Amino acid sequence: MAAVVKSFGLAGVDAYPVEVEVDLLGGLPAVSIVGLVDTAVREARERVQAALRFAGYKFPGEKVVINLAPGDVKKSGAHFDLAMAVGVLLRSGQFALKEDPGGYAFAAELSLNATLRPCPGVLPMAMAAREAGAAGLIVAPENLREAGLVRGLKVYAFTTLQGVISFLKGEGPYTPPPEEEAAAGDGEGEELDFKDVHGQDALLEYVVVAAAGGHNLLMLGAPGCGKSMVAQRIPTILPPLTEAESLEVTKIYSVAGLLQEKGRLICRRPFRAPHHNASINALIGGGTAAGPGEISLAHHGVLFLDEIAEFGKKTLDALRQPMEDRRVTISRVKYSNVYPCSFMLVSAMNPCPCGYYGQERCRCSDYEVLKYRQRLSGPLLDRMDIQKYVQPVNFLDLSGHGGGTTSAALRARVEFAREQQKKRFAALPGVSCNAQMTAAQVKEFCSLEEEGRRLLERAYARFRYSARAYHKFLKVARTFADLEGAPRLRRQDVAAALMARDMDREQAGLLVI
Amino acid sequence: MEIYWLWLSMRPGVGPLLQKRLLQRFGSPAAVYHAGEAELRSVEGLGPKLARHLREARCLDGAARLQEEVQKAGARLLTLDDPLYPGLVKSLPEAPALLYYRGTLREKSCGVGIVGARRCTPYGKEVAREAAAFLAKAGVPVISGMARGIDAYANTACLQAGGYTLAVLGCGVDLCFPAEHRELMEAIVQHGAVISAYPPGTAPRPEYFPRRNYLISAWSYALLVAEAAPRSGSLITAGMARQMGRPVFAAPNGIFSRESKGANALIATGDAAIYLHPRQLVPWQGTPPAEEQAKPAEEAVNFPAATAAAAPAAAPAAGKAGGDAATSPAAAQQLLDLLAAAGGEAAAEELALRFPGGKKHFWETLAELLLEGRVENLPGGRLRRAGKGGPGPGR
Repeated sequence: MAAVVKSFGLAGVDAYPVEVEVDLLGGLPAVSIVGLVDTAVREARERVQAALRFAGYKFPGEKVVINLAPGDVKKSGAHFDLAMAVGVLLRSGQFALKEDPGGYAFAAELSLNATLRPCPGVLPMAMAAREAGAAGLIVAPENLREAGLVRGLKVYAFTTLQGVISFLKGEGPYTPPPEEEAAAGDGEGEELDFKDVHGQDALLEYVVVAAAGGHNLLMLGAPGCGKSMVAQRIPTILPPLTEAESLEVTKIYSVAGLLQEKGRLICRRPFRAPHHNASINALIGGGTAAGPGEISLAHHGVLFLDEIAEFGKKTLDALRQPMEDRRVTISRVKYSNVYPCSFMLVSAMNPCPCGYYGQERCRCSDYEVLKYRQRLSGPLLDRMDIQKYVQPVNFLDLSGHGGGTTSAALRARVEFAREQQKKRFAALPGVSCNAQMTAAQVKEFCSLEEEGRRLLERAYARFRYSARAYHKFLKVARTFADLEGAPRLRRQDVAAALMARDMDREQAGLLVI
Repeated sequence: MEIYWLWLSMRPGVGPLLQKRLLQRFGSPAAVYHAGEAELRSVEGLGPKLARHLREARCLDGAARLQEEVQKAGARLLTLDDPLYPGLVKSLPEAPALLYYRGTLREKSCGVGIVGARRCTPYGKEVAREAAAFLAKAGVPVISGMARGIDAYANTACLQAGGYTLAVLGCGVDLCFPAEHRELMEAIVQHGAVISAYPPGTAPRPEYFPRRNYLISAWSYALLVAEAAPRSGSLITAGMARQMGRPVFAAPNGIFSRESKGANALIATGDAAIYLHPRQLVPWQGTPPAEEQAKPAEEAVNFPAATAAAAPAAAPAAGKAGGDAATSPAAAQQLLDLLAAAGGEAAAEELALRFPGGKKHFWETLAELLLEGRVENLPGGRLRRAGKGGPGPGR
């Protein structure tokens, strides 16, 4: 009878149980691995043979068939090695289990010297193991802490295959490998803070609003005026991740193999800043394995697109649908995976091709300016509730300036506003912040005080805003009001919201037909 | 009859001067077509070779093909004997016998030319915009060349102010050069006309532009050089206008700005008068070169006074309409004072730093002022007090 050992495959950010079946069929020595496997799995044949030999075991001198079930799902990754090795040893009778063979699950790659190597995606595998009711999960020492994040699951780590086998035989008590020193602090020292940003107080007001209401933000400005500096600090004023959010983010990073601090839960909001030559697949997700892209890696955090006008038009437009749905389905021939991508888009661009629009040295014609800005499609611009200019700071003027506000102070305001929103949207599952309100919800939640309404009417009469722009103003005004806990939109909230879209107003001033 | 005009315009070696002499001698292109070699040779400046060529070219096939193309392009012909051909242009020796145009030619299509650098500065743009809008309101056609920069700004600003504008091209009237002006070109065809001396389908070539510049100055009672680099096409236009005896104005500018060295030089050499206000472009003192002057000129003189009176009247009215002004007038005044202290123009962020009322209050006050039209947006997120005119010497 074939030996059956448990392991896991990855589909998107989730793992599913895979049974590794090993059987010996007699005949000439050969190894055949089946079950819709990719090259990494197929090459396990050589690794397992070498590892077994090195560890002092015998590889059966007959035909070995290894089947990964379910057989109709594509599988990839080298983490099936350990399960195969254990399966081969069991089937060839080189050791016997102390307990029920179904108890343990395995996820580790083998080296030719029979040591265990770490693999990506251990966190979701551990979650799947707990759900499948496994007695324990056996991983490489480097993955121990990551797997240990899942409560209610026993995790064992061994450095070598021999260690695993003797544990399974029940030859001795399990001794956990020495805990590696946690990489000193997680960069505590180089913490970014808004207090380093000087002389941009008026802009910061809008950055706070963007963070508080989950509004997407576009910053315009000449090269070197501090757009990136502001953007990098935005995660520091977002409220800390909740435990559930943390786990979600960690899972994505685990699957992408980017969990640098192995076994540490990601507690900081991610900040992703892909370069503008990023392809659609890099941004949205894809590749042969349909892996997560930058937008998913920025889940619950900030996706910063610097020089957004230099990104490919198609690449940018591909962002639209995931931004709306807050998850993205990546379909490839072999895989179709769904990744979450609820991120705040922060982008920066120059106002014109030369970058110095409005300054003495700019010689760009209005048509060129318009053409440059049209690289951002209308629908995408539409999703940026706040579009503000960043002015170059005259630092000689700052002598009397006491320095910026600290991130902590700004975060307190953001958290206060988020608290208001949480209360408001408690009954609505799909909405967690003002930016996500639908038109109907805007109507319901953005009631105006009389003075605010009058101001908006005047602005409407003067600038002829579209109905869609009208809703945007109300959403932003809602966040302004939330920052101060006001139940209805006051005059000053509306006035401040009217100033949130510099680019729209400027576009009207261009001398073009 | 058109076909004979086309035939005449297609004869190599027969330029505007000779065309006119032939027409004078024979009366019409058809007569030229049918004239005998001896008769032709009696025309001054027409040698035996050219006369023989004209004789041998007595075939209308080429002209017919061209006529078809003109029709396909939706273009029309403006012949020397057409009443729409302005007398002002006709009187010039180099005026071509045949022009092509798309759009509507008014009976009185001559106006004020505005030319300048393609790579212009915001200053030049402002000069062109202000002048073109002023002329549009005064009912004076704006003549320009639809090139990048100043030309296009002048055409556009005139159209936006509801005026009539002509664009003289250095290519066929069915081609758009530069291509980004396609929409502008269509708008000009709708509310004015594009004119060219070159038949439809002619691609632009550098050597075509002097003639186009000649026509711009020919159509202009006065010419404004908004901004010009040294050795630029605008200076050629200015030189031609000067030769035609048309007043030339140049907007003065900083002496270190490359884009205005040409215009400043025009002033320095006395080739152009200093331009300070668009009013200068309209009232032709002395004997007006044409009929249509008197009325627009009068209007023009009154016009700025009218706006000046209307604007302050409108502002308080708007203020009253929004009489709910919870933003204290004091705060608004503080902001205006700050703006004035900064020279009438400043970045929003600079003002916010100095504004005593707090950041949020700042945006609120600013929104109010923008709504009332007391402050306006400038490119690059800068602000300016309304009615301050362009940067530099303006109103």
